[in-house]
Amino acid sequence: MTTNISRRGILAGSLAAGVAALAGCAGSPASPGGGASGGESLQVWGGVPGENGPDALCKAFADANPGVTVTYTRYVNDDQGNVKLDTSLQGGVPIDVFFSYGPDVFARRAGAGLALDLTEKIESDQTLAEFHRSASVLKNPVIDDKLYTLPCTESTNFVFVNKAIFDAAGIGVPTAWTTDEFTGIAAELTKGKVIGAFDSPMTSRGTLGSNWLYADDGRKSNFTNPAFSADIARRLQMQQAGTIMPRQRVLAEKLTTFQQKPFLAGELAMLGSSAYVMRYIKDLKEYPHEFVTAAAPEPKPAGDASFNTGGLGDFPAVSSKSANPDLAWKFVHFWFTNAATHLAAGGRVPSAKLSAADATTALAAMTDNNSELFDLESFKTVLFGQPRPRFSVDTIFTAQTELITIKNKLEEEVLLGARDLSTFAAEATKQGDAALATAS
Amino acid sequence: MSALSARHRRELAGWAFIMPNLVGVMLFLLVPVVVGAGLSFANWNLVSGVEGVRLTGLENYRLLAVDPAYWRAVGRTVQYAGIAVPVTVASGLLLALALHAGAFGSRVLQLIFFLPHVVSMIALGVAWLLILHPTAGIVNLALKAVGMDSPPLWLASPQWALWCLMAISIWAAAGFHALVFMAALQAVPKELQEAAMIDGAGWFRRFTTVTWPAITPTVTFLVVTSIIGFSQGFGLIAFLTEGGPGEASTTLSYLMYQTGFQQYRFGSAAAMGMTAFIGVAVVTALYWRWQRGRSLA
Repeated sequence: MTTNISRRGILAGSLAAGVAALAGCAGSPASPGGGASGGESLQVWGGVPGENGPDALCKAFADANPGVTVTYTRYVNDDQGNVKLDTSLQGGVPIDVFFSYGPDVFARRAGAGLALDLTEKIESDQTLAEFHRSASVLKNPVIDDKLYTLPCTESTNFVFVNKAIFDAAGIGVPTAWTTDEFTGIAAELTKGKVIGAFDSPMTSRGTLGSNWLYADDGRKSNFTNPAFSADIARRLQMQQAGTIMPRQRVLAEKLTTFQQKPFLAGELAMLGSSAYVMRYIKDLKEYPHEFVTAAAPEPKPAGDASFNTGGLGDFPAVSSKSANPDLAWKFVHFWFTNAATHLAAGGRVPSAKLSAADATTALAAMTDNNSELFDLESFKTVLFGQPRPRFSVDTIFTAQTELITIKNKLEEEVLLGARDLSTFAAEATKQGDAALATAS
Repeated sequence: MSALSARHRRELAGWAFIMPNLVGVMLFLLVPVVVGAGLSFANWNLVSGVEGVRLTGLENYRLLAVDPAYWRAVGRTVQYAGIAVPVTVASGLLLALALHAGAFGSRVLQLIFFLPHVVSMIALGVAWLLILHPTAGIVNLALKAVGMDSPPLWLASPQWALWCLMAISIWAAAGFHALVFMAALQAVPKELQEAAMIDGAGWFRRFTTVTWPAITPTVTFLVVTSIIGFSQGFGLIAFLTEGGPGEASTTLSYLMYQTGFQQYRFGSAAAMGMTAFIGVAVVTALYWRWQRGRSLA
């Protein structure tokens, strides 16, 4: 039998397929029973893949709020993805809650009026006291004297340790150490095909604290501060000694993004990074390895009680155009308080105060309680021990992206031998001040 | 019946035929160009919406004029296009002449040389990353095998990165140029070639007096499209070096990307785009003027 397909039929079919495909792009709604209930709905945009926790969190919120449907749309957190989110926010795409993943990006959106002022909601809740503007150590970005977010995660920087290499050298996993001690251990462990560490500790951010890139209240760049050159000098010295990965190899193999590869291949004794690497440690299919990884705190300059060089992350905001701002705030608060349960498995450490039980749950999710892969006690101490690490929160964001680009670019030139370290401060200051003048 | 004359009906039909393309060109080419030109006289960060556009007159251009990073990027772009354009066109022509002369295995060679043009840029990039890897790449392994202790770091070297990108771009484009030249060579009047031979002209004389004038329009086409293409080179740079190491391969197009899509200074990026547009237009016009009257036709 022959079936005749008319052009109109093909057109109708194509349209149907197109509409279906577009609908598929819109993310997956979470509601009790799995379908739209006809009640309230929330549109949430975030950069974390749904399966790494957001889907479960949205479902938990929908379960706790019958009649509410939550649709989570993932955008890729890169240049193009952020432009997509920004144009969507500007263009009137219905978005109630959106996440930003860097304080400068968040500040830009909040400063442009894309986020709702949450000051009153946050400061009327005493359980969120450490996120108030009056907190003794600022833990929430203050923009034009207002609060727009609740940072949901802490990205603590710490050192992943290949315990087999440490054990073979008779070195215990450090529980507190200086940058000199780190340098010494890296040199001691550099043998044969093993390199001591991926990179040297960059302490300037921790030492200088809030607004580390700025001098003169943000009117000038701060690159003449000796802390910046000291960081590069240590890095250069370790590179010349062969105790960290040479920069050319890092560039050639794009290892800034894939630094877990040499560590899990057993090529590195130490890797300074943050909890997201734990995902790869568990992924034995992609990264087969047999050693146990331990965690050591970030080394600091002698006598320095500085900040951790990591930072607060995952900044949710209620869109200023949200049709349902109260429900959106409720969702943000829910996400903040339930991150331990749903997001820890993906390597995200919640910033909310955790009970001992919550910390145990989060650690279990992050490590699968697998003692053949993780030295569980050391991870518990570094990630959830007391006192918790402190992070510096910036309040000046003028040309911050440009300043970081200038710093990285010139550092790279020094490490590759194309620039003398003695010229770094002057050149970085010249370029940085010019960028600030242009942006002001 | 319609009161339209036959001529009007023909005109209407003509408009109807070109309308889909015309609408496309207006919407996706002319409108963005006009908006970009307007934006170059303003400050805009995208997140502040249309109401956030702040007119600043010539300020973006004034800042560019005194920005050393901009001039360094211009210098790299001129170096990149200034070398890649003539080398690509010349290598495409040489390749076409060899293939046209019926060199052994010319059909297979034709396919091999054209292949880079149809393969995706990501696949090309990955292949070259492996080939030029400082320690494990085939190039440096070969150089070490012949006794070079410290071969260049290629894409990871501030001195070599731009040259490597140039070489890869030339390699990727030469096959396409050869293909276009092959078609032009086949169109060179045979009777002229034969007459020149009878007059005793050698290969070089025949090439300069018959072949070259006949293929000059093709050379012009390829030079113009190459100037435009190479001065906008972005994909390979973004994938292989991201403008680095340091800023060693930051050309004007990559600086535009950084300024616009990383720093959200779209007015400044638009001003860079306009200067690039004017620069390319001037070079193209000068070349066009120079080559006029040099073809056979």
